[in-house]
Amino acid sequence: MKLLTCFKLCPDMDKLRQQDFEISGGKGLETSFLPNMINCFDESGLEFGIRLSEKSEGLEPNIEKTAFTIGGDASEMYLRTLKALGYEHCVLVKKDEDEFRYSPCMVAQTIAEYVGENPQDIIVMGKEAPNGNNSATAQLVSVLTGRPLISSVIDVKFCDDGTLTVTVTNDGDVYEQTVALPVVLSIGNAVISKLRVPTLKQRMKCKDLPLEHFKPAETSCAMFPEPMRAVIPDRRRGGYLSPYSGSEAVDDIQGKFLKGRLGEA
Amino acid sequence: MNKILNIDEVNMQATAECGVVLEDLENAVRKYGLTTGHSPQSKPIAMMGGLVATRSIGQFSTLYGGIEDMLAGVETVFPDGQICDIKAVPRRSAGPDIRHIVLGNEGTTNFITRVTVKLWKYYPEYQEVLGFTLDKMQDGMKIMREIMVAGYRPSVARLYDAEDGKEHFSHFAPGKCVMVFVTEGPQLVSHANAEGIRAIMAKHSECTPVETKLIENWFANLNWDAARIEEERKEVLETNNVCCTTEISAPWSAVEQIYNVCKKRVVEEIPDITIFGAHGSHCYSNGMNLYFVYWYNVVDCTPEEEINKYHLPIKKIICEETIKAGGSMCHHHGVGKHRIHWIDQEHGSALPMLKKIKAAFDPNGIMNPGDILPYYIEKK
Amino acid sequence: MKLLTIVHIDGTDAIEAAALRQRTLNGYFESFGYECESYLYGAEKFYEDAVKQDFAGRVYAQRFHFISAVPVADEISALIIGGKFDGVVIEESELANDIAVLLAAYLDRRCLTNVFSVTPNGTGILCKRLSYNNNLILEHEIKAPFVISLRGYEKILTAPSGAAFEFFPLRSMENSEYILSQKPVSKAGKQGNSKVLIACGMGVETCEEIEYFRNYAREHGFNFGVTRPVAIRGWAKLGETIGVSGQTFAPKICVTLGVSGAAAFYVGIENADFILSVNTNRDALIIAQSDAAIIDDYKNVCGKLLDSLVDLYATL
Repeated sequence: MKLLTCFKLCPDMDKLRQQDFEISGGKGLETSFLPNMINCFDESGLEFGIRLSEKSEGLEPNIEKTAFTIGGDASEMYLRTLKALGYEHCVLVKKDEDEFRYSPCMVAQTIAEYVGENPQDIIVMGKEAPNGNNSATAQLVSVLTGRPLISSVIDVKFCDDGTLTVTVTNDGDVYEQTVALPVVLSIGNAVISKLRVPTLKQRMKCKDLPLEHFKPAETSCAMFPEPMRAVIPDRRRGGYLSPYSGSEAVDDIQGKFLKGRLGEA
Repeated sequence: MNKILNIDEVNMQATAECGVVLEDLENAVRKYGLTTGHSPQSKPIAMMGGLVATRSIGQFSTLYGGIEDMLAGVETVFPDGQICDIKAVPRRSAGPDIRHIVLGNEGTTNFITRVTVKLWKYYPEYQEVLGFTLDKMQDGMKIMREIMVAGYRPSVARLYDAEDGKEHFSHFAPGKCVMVFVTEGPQLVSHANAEGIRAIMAKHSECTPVETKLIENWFANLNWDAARIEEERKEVLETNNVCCTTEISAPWSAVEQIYNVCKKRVVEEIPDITIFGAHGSHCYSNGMNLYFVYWYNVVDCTPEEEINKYHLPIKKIICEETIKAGGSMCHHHGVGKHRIHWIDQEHGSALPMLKKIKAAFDPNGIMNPGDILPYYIEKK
Repeated sequence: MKLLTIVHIDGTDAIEAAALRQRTLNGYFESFGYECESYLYGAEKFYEDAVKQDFAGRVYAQRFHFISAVPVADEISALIIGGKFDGVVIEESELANDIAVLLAAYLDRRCLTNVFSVTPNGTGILCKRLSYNNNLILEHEIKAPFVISLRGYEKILTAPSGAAFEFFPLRSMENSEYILSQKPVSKAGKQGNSKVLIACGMGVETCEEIEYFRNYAREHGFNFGVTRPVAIRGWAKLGETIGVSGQTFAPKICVTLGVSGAAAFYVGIENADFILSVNTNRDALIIAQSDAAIIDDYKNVCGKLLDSLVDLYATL
């Protein structure tokens, strides 16, 4: 059985200070000085990939795992980590993030082309990534590869009989579904959010193993209109700071702002 | 006991009760354009009494010193009820410096009730930040020594090896060591320190300057807030991957050897290590500290056994190798209970002094037993 | 221009609220001269309740036993082709983005997801959406034929649609080609939409206090939520998170207690009419992003503050 997990590297936005906000290239934020991280939904997918391939309760699934990413040189370190964790194939498509941030079509077509040459039974990826926030790649991969999509997956496992069981959410309700293969899984707020950590010895063993590079055909797609403009939101409300504290502050705010506020529909 | 009692701009001192949180004191003196200069990672929660009792040190120590350099006066209570007030003077030679019975006692001989610390003028606008990458930790140690011996006094002087650096700098320095300097103080002094360091670094072709914004952003995010700590706790529980640290100090002639042997031995002898690295974060003319940072997967091990399978064996290697090479097993994290196993080796022939202090001030052993000195239960 | 709006029926107890949302959304587009029809989808049997509600205009409804975007998109695409809709707007729900992109791919249409503001401008539709963890607003123009899915949609102030309600229930979809079985694991206790929201952050010091605020909110008909770190520390369920990974609210009054104001949280309350924050840190981001603030320990303030909100509520 073959399993493909796609992931994207993102800047760690928690480390962006208010004073460092700056538009870059007219359509993005300047984040080149921020540390990277694997998109959290993809990271869950990568850990699921490992768990699905582990022997469990008498089941010995023979799964060939591939980790796949589109990005720059910074991705190599993460692919090596995945190699150390047992991903048999670690594939990099070298491309600058600016080129595909708002082009989920390009990303999906690249993945679909790879799958065309390397058929997969299970394709896993996060439902969205922070920069582009397109929330579209999994759906497009589903259509392009002709594999049905399961959305908002929060847990995955094989049953004793070898069928795949997924746990999905739908606006707070949780369901368990058994699904036929092949399938595309779009990962939501999963029960696990972190990839396990390889030992130093595992990393040393894989240090010089080759990564695979994939060069897709040039594609174009007009489905998602490019942004015309990017604006840093000004969320300031010019807040009134009560000069009082305790009960006096409550009286102050109550008198100035709250009285009658709930009245209108 | 959480009141700030006095901020004395003339004598450049602040007095606070033992329960005042350092961040609250720092915020209070900042209103006067002053700073305590003390900035350990625990600043938002550490209290003044505890900071003195543990011989704490902060991130800007290379300029401002550790708590031992900052403490001007202190009031403390001994187990017999004696309240002792050591007055705040600039310096005196009136017998041995009895502040050092209080500093670092870790609650084993007395309970600190009031603290007076020195203050400095605060010049955030003249702060300069420098960063450099290089290949070898050993080269970094030599260069750090050169800078300290030359007489420069940055407030921050750090050196990260590639493994420890991975967690901080991989977005611009993958597989590299990183050196970070911050200078501050009055404009001419801060700038002269920065220029002096730049000149030394420029002589070393193995070092490449790093864009300031990268280092500034890293430094601004170095200390975690409560939300980040919660994320970390969740991550540890999910991955069973735990981080711990053991930090030591050593003279320049020994620090490279300690780094090499500890790295070799821990990686070879301890199972399930995922990262083993180190950084130096406090530098002196006669040496530096080494902050070993290591991560391991907890494998087939109950929580109760983790200390015996991973924690203590790692500490044993680091503490014993450090002491053997002439260093100290704890630069600023204190002895507590986890390093009592090596207190004899740490102090050698001077151990009787420590034991006699304990016996003199706490003959009944009621003060934090088992801390600093092992707690022996007599066999009947 | 002809528009199909799509609304998720999230349980029969939420159907009245769904009708209000549908009328409001349709009313907005009708004010620009659009002709609107609507499509409702849900998992529970809802036709009997739906027909009694106050939806507007021509409304199709379809029930799907298996929770999945693919069969919903399959069925809607047939409707779109037959109905010759120029545009499709999908109201926020967990499957909204999935359905939108699948529809756009099936029907070769343009698409935008996670849109919070939609303004027809003659040549097309000006859309705004958030990116970079809600720290950047992107403006796009999309032209017909299009599919848009909404997220954190800003408040609509135009009058709701008054079009006469015509109900067209469609065949219930009971089977799936690739979902072999399904069983419910848990149902979320969904909060209704209250005019008051209490949001607790990491500044609230104990689990017991979080429980107190939760219970207080419940007893008095307020909504309650927490910042994500509070849920991660185990003091609240993840489902109680407010923000990008949780719920969004648009109350009249939002009170935040011990919240710092990160963008990922703030988008969950951004549409509140009035935000009042209590925090000891004057420099916390939430203070500048609030309409009013009290710089004090929440413990000194919350008793009287909550009681005053209850009094206000009682006057309604």
